[in-house]
Amino acid sequence: MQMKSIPLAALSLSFLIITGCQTGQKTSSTAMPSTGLDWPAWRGPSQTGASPEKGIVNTWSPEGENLVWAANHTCRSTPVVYRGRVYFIGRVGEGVRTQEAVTCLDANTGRVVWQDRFNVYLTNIQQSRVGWSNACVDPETGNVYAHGVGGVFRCYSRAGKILWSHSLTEEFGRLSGYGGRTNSPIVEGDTILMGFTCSSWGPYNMPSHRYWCFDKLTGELIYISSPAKKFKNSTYSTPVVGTVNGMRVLFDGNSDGSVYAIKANTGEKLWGTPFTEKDLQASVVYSEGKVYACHGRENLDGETRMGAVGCFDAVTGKLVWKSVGHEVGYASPCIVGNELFVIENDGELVCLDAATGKEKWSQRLGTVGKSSPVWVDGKIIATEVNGRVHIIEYGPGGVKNHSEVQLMLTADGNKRATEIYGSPAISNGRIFITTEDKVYCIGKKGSGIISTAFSPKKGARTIGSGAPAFLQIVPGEARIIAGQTKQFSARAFDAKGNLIGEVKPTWVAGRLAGKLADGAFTPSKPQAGMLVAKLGNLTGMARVRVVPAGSVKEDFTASPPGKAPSYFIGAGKFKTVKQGNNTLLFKSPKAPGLKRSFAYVGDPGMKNYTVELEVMAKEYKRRMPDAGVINGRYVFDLMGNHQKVQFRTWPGSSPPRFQVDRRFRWDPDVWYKIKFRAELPAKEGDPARLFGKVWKKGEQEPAAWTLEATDACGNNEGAPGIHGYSNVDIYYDNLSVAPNN
Amino acid sequence: MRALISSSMLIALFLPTLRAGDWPMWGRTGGRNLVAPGKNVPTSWDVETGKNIKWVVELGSQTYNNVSVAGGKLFIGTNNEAEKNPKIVGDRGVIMCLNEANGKLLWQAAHPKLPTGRVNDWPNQGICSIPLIDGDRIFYVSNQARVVCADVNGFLDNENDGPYKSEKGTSKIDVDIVWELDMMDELAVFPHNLATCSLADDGGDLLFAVTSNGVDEAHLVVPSPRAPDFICVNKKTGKVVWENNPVSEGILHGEWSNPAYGVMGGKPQVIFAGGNGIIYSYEPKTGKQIWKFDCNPKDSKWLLGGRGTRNNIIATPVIHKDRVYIGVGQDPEHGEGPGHLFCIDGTKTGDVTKTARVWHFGDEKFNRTMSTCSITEDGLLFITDLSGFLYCLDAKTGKQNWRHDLLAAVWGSPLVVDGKVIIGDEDGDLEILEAKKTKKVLFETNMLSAVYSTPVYVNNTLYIANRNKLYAIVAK
Repeated sequence: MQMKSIPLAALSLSFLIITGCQTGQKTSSTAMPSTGLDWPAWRGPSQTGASPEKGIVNTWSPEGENLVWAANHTCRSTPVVYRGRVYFIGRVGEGVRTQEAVTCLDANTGRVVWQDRFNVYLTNIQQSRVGWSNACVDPETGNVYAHGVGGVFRCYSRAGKILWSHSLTEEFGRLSGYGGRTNSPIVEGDTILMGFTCSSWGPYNMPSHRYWCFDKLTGELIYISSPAKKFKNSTYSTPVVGTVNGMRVLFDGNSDGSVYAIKANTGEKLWGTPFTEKDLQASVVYSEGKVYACHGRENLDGETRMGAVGCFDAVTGKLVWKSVGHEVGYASPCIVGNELFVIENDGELVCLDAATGKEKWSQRLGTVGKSSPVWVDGKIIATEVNGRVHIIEYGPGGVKNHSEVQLMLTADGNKRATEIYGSPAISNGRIFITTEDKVYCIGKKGSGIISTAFSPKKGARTIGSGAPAFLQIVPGEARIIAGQTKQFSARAFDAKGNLIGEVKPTWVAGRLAGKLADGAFTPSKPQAGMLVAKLGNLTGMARVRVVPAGSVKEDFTASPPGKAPSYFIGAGKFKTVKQGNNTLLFKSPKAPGLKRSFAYVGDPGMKNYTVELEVMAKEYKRRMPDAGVINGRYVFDLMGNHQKVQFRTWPGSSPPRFQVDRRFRWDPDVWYKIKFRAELPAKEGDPARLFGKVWKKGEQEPAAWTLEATDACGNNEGAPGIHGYSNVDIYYDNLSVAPNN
Repeated sequence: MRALISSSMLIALFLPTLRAGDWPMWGRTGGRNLVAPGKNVPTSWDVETGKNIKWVVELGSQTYNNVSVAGGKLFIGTNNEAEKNPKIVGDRGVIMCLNEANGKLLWQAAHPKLPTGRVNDWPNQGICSIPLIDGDRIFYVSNQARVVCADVNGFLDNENDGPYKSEKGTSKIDVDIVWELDMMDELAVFPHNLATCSLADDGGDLLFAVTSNGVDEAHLVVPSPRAPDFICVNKKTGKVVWENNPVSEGILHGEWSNPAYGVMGGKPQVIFAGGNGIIYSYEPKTGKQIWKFDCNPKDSKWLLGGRGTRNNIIATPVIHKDRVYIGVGQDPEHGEGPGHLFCIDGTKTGDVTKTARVWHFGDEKFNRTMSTCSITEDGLLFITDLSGFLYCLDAKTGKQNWRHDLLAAVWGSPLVVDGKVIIGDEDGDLEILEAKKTKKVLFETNMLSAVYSTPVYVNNTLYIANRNKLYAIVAK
């Protein structure tokens, strides 16, 4: 058997990169030794899907052959393994306690070391698709990062302590999109990078798949990069970062069908090359100056065959070759030397010549291709959605030995294949696989104990040189509570995007109202706009959104015509209209895209408040809209077509984790007042009490609540907001938020 | 004997006449039984060398259905990636009218996409409705969820047939719409992902349509519970004759089946497979329910995301000799899972779930399906499932004769013709087997891209649509 080998030079370079050591530049500290035995990110240590390890088993069985351990967990993500710990995100609990969780297992035994359970809220994504995102580990600190389907984005210490947490939906208007796949973060130097689609405020009101860079230690947002002009679909590819001519470059496929390269440290766009008419979903792979991308969508240039694999020059973005007809819509390629492995949507593994794109051989894995192939020890390890696990030894002519294991699940009295969406991970000679009901550790029994020793150590950083070429304000976007002060700082980067250091710019508040002194900004009222810094001929900008301090009184009269109040987030489809002397907020059925929108008006940390709103709906040919308010991550909704009122928090749970409703006659063309009071627990998961009331405006407020309920697994905080499902016109007026009396 | 004669006479009275050589609708007849008349079906061809390929036409990039044929014209739904009309670019739902003799494009309908996007009109899915042809009219459901009546001659006859006269293009390549019924605007229908119905008729003036009403993007709420699930439309006017919404808020996902029309127990019946997994029979003229049958086991569960045991129905019911045959399944995006195939006695009334089950095939032997049955005169039933198996059953008992692994997912249905069963799969493979009680593979070839459609054999020509091409294949 002819064994394929990874060029050693390429491997060692890749491993140096992941630990933050770069060559050819001044460095500020000593390089960390590479281990090569960890799998800290979903595509492995080199971000290529390849592992340098040896001694991988050829066969196994869930009954015991070469099975080190199996543990019961529900998971759709790829596990990551670092220093004897396995991390993944998945679904836990039943009924009202159905939640998402980040879990840490002992890689030697499969026992749970720690687990963080949290609520899923304000997303349509179905319960069975929770946890379809990959965690990652920072090799320097051992910290773990995970992104939940509801927008919870957390950093954990190796011991499981939450170091920081974002609610991306409420803070940045993140959209959880369609189908359940959730974007995965990656570690890059001192930052965490992640792409996700948002509809937030200002120019970013328009949905687009953008790149978000956070400080990995503090969680502070450093920049948002928005290279795409068009939004065609939510996309779930995970970026990769490579070093190109001394520059750290992020590569990714975007919603608009283009492959982009941006400077990883600054977010500046380098190039974008259109590859498909539609969205790119599969993650790209970078190797030796080339970027490889795949899609299962329509091609450009009048080609009616769907799907393609393409190779792009990493410096120019120019297409080197394209092989049309491979519908690879989900799986990321794996590259080893001159061989590129892809898995087509219909479950066909294909080996291509990485230099030309020509097909060398193929092998059927099943009927649905979603997960990505992994190369290790001359073998391809691959999973297939319908419970199939493949270990494939191959030669120049194709498959030589093939082990296929069919994993089954017994549920609801029907024996069926267990679902697998995660890709394999390799660590210490073992294969780690997650399924709908289990996590498997596959390898030779008695092959030793995986060390769990770890001590943090900071790697090297490339220090910028020469004249400053880019001015960055940190944070790149800030949410400030009116009256509070936020300190901004400025940093200069060289032309290659390498950090030179902090600088002292001239600060300009522009149209923002408030006090600005030496980068410290104290806004006087709710608003949104740009804070500007100037250094020589360089200009840097930060997005500033000022939210109300606890109470909101909004009658929409101060809003620009045709727009929602500037401090609202996700309100792109709401606009103000004049009716007589009054100004109303309006949501029309005519806006393109989905009719359903959530607009948030305050800080995600708010709790124990009451929201009031006036609403009026129209009726058109047997249909009426839904309209309501948001409080503590619960919606209190008037549902026109169903003529009922409802509390809900996660409509995609099945059956709904928490949903309470009752019949309520809601007449069109009549103004109603809505009041929603939430009494939230100090700790998420304890009971939350909800009280909703609706009455006709002008009539006396009824003493009794229209709807009361207790969520046994309550949310403990959340921004107030407005909901609208505008299949017909909806009008809103007089929003108020006040602490519970 | 008297009853038999009486029944035959009734059937003759109620069933539409079918012209020789026609394939005027999905399934050829209202009964939808995918068994074609004809002999000399090709059993060998090669799309790469052109062997036995009469002609090939480039379609859009995504094609899920095959042709209907009448009067020397072919009609097929696809998307607009081929951009046959240079003035109409970008994503559209397209119906192409082709010359049967040479595949040349005569005219096309190119319907804009809905502004609401994928929840109602999935990008690039084209038109999945197979046009029903009746004389000089075709009837189909566009991607905009409009029931469309168009002139088979387009504007080639230099006339703009109405009452609809608002066509934006009236050149020779454009569609001449006669009338259209906007189910979204007029009836509040909320099609989930795409309106897909291949219409049925009663041979007279009545058209029947499944509306494709469904859940919203959250997959939990049916946002338009007051919209009909099933409608009857006057062919000449486009006006709704009657409407039913027995499923309403009970739609599990969407309603993507197609109606069947036939005579059972001497009674004309139109069959509607609901989005709740229940199949309904109605009086064609009034919409009054004759019977209903629940195709889901009582203990089955619907799970959002697809892995539950409760199913809806995407396949088309087949009416054959007083029986209805139907398999259950789900959106293929939901993956594989347990399926059921039922043979139902169509002569009863009321809730016949317990009384009309002739046989059931399932119990881990059968998987979710979108496939419509082919039932031969000598009592063999052929059906495929999403998991990629072709089954041959005894149509009277449901007993399995054999099963064949096609090694790839199957969305389409088997066609039986000339003693052979022809089936394509997602890998682009197309196989021909003997339509006999014992399994024998006669031919296998690859069509170069996925075959999601069902083969059609008419006028000594086998039509196979892969994702982006339509092949006319003949035995030479």
